[in-house]
Amino acid sequence: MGKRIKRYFILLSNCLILSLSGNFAYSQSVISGTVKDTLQNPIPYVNVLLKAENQDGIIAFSTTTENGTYKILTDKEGNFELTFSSISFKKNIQSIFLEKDKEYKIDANLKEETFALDEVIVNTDKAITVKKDSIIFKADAFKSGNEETVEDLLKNIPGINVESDGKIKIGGKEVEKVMVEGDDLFAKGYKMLTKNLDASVINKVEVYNRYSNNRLLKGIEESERVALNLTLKNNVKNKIFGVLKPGYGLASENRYDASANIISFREKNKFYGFTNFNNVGIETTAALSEMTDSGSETNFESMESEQGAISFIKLINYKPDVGDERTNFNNAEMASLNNIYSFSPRLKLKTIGFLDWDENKFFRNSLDTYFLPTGTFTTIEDYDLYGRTFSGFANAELTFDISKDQIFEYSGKFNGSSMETNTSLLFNNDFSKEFLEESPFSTNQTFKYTNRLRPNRALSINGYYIHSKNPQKYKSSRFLFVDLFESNGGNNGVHQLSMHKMNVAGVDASLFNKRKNGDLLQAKVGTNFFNNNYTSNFTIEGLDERPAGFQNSSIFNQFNVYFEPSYKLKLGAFAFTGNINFTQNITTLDSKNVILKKSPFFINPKITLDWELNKKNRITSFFKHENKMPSTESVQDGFVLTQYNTFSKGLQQIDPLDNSTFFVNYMLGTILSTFYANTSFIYIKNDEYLGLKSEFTRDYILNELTRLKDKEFANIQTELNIFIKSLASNAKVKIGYNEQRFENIVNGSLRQVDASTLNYGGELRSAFGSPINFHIGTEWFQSNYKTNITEQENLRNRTFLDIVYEPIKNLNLSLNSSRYFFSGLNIDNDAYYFMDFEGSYPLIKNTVSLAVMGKNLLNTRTLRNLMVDDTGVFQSEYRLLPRFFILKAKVRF
Amino acid sequence: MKYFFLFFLSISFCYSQTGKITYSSNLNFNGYEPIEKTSFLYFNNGKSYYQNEIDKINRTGKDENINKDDENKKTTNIKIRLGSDSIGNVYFSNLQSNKLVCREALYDDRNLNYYIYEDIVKIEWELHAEFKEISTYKCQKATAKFRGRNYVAWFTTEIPLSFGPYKFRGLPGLILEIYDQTGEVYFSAERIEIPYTQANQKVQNPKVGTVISYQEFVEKGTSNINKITQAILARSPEGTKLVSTDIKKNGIELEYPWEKE
Repeated sequence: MGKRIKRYFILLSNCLILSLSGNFAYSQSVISGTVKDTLQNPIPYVNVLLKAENQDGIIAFSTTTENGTYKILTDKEGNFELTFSSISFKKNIQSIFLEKDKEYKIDANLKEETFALDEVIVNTDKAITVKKDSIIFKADAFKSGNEETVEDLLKNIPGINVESDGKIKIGGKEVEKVMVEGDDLFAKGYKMLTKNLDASVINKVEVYNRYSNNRLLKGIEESERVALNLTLKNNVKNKIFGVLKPGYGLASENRYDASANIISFREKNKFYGFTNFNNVGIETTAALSEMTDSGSETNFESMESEQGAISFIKLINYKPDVGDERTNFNNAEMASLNNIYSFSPRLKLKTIGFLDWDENKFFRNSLDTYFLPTGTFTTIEDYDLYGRTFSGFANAELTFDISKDQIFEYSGKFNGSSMETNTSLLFNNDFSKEFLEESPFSTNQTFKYTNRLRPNRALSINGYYIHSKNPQKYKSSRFLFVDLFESNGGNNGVHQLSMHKMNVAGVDASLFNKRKNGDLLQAKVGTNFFNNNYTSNFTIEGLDERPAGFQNSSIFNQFNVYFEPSYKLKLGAFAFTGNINFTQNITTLDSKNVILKKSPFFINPKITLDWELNKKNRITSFFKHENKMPSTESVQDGFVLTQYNTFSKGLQQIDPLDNSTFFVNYMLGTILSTFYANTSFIYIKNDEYLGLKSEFTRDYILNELTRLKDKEFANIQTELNIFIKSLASNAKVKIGYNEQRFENIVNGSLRQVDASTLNYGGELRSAFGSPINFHIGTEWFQSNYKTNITEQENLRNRTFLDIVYEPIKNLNLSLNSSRYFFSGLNIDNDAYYFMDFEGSYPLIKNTVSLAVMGKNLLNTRTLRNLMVDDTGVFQSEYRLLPRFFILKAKVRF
Repeated sequence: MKYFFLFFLSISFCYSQTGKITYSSNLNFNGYEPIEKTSFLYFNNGKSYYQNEIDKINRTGKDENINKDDENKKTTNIKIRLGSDSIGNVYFSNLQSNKLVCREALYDDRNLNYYIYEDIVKIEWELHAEFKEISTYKCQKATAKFRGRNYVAWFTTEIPLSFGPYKFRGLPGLILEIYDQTGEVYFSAERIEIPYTQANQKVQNPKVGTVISYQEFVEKGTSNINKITQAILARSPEGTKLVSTDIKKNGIELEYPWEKE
């Protein structure tokens, strides 16, 4: 009995185990069968789908083999249907009730049926939409959840690259601007936006390729530019956000670099405010130039260059090439506000306001030795400068979209400064003081009307008015010009009041026509008027009469009417652009003693030719011939003081000057080839030119212009690159030579000057896949000035080593060091070493990050350099910002 | 008479099995300009032939320009434009086996060379009870991991074809849309023409090209790219901020079968 129960139990439990385990592991039912057509031939490649009855989802599927057989495994039970479908047969559906662990054999006979889809167009709702010149990304499709700023979102979008400094690149090109809802607040300063705007507010990211700043020139002008536009979600247009970036000196004297910004986007009104305080040598006006830099304008939109009034006196005329920040002892504060207001979808006003205060100090000691036909002498100078600047800038831009094909734009810029500079000067061991007061002001009013006449043709009309003036009041406490003026010796100082005032007005019209074959025909016709008012009054203290020949009061006017057709075509491997400028010019110079008038006619041609011989060889070249009138300052007859010991004047003649330029560039290989070389050659010939006639004395210099003939300049530069695979590095060799031949008159003797510079150097840069990389290089410059009596030579060298180390992700360390060497200096101090360090690490991703910056780690306090020209050797010593460390934080709110 | 009937039948059979699907592909690899291409999938009798539209420029070339971004910093932009020959990239598959015969180009030493390799593709599709409509076609979602990318495919059983773009196939319906999670790879069907009798001439094994193994092909390509990338990086001028270099693999395939071991 017990045995039987036991056996029964074992059997039962076995059954249980079997059935249970079957449930878990072996409970798959197998459905198999053969599919045949009406003629009983097996059909291959029939899709056999298993679906739950009256439901959509396919649970399992199979395809018939060559023999028409199929097999489906499933662990499901219940009511199902089996669908047999193939492209050339009628769909067959069979019901099936599935139980566990069973085998089903289901055959099917399919009837033929023609399946035809005649040109069905499928529309997909894409995360990415590619249009002809734009790509639209739906932001939500690219959000992974942990992004905070727009920059993070952009990093997720394929094809968009955000570099470590925030620069956005698409296809290797930096974007022109990042707009918000089509409005551009920042121009090149877009990082302010992408690093601060919250990613969650973005609806779409639009990439515009072949972007034109003027939408009507799109497709007509040639453009390689890229721009981004962000569209915002509707519910988030009222937020205010910003960033604080305090930075303060560590273990060094009072150093700071702090900035903050605040941003808001409303549908009608968008604004951006920014402020910076620093005394680490950073020019705060750089932020302004970034925000007003609308990118590289093409020749289609070019206007007369924004020239400003002349500064007669320039107190700092040279800074050594070691980075401006090293010699700029400053204390700067700036604030700016950008605003865009939309009156209607078609009418927009953009304004920029900018205020800047700056205090600057600059120190220089010089020892100048002159080698002149009349003998040799030396001057010494010890110069301390202290300046204060207050400047303001305002810009209003109005854009009115008249219609689909017409735009009217107006821009008004106002720029004014007030500067006061004091210097104390030891010149040839005598002490003096200078004082300069300047208040430059300029305004620039432009309007532009663009009309797209046809899809391939556009008309653009520009008008502009520029007013610029620069009054200068200068005083020097020492009289250095005893030889020049009949003086009683009791003179204490000199004064100069000067002002250049200019008014420029012009209007031009351009027609662009892109032909079907891609050739571009452009014609421009226009007129402009330049009015220059040039006055200077030089007085000597204690002398009632102003010295004759040192005063200016003249009006210099130029009027041009011009026509400029140009044609661009491509013929196989050749690309050719021809451009001719025809100008009728009327120039008058009206000074106290003379009135001059000329009305020349100019024909200025320019031809560009690019030739791509084959994949490895490419030549680009141009030739141009240019006639133009001399500039305002070069036609003035009276001397003006330009430095405490220097007078300059022009030549009172208004005959045009001409020059010819030839340029050719040859590229062997490409930047991708193992060997890559680029060589360029330029030659400039001036048949007639304004040369210098100078008189040097130990106390003063007199410069005037004189007309001379035949000046030549030639320059050849070549750069060879070879990629060394075994070192994963590129080696570069640079060699160049330029030579200039001209004449000048020095202390009464006319002479030929031969000036040449030979430069040569090499670099090695690594591209290791490791966290550490380096870049090392050196370059020598050998200058030579030769006249019939003298020869001055000079050799200088710059060597650098940059190392980057990223030991862990996001911790970025970089060390930049360089050495400057000047021959001819005292052997003990002819080399100068610099080292800068920077390290940064994000503490809380996208919210708080810390950086340490060390400048001038070797604490080099002075830099001496040496330069030569045909008149002498000039040695200068500059004082440098001492070593400092700054701890910087960045907090987003 | 009977023979004639059979003959007739087999012709009609062939006819009805042909078709042409036009796909638009969108490759947006990070750091590169997006490439949008049109491709065609031809099929007949369980065989398919996927071919990229021939580059109309029909030239191999590269553009480069050195932009002066601002005063001190220069950026160098390199665009390699791989042209194609008159055949272009081809992926030939037969539903009978997992073997695909592929024809793809490499840019070795400034020359465009075509290679033919055999690839074994077995994609383990996972079906999901998620649906969406693409132009009135009801599509079901399927996912799969393929060569280092996670794909989402939308296929429709209303067009009972197991084909898809590139190397994708094996679903019980035509793939109308397929993309990977990063958004870098994207294909969508644009036009469907069934029947398409010219497909009979199109669908055949690609022949023009050097035959090598798939692994050899990939290794050759990687070494070419590394060489180019390093050369570019090592040639950037001073002042360009040196950031440690990370040569990323780009392409539709990021991992290869032999790398898993």
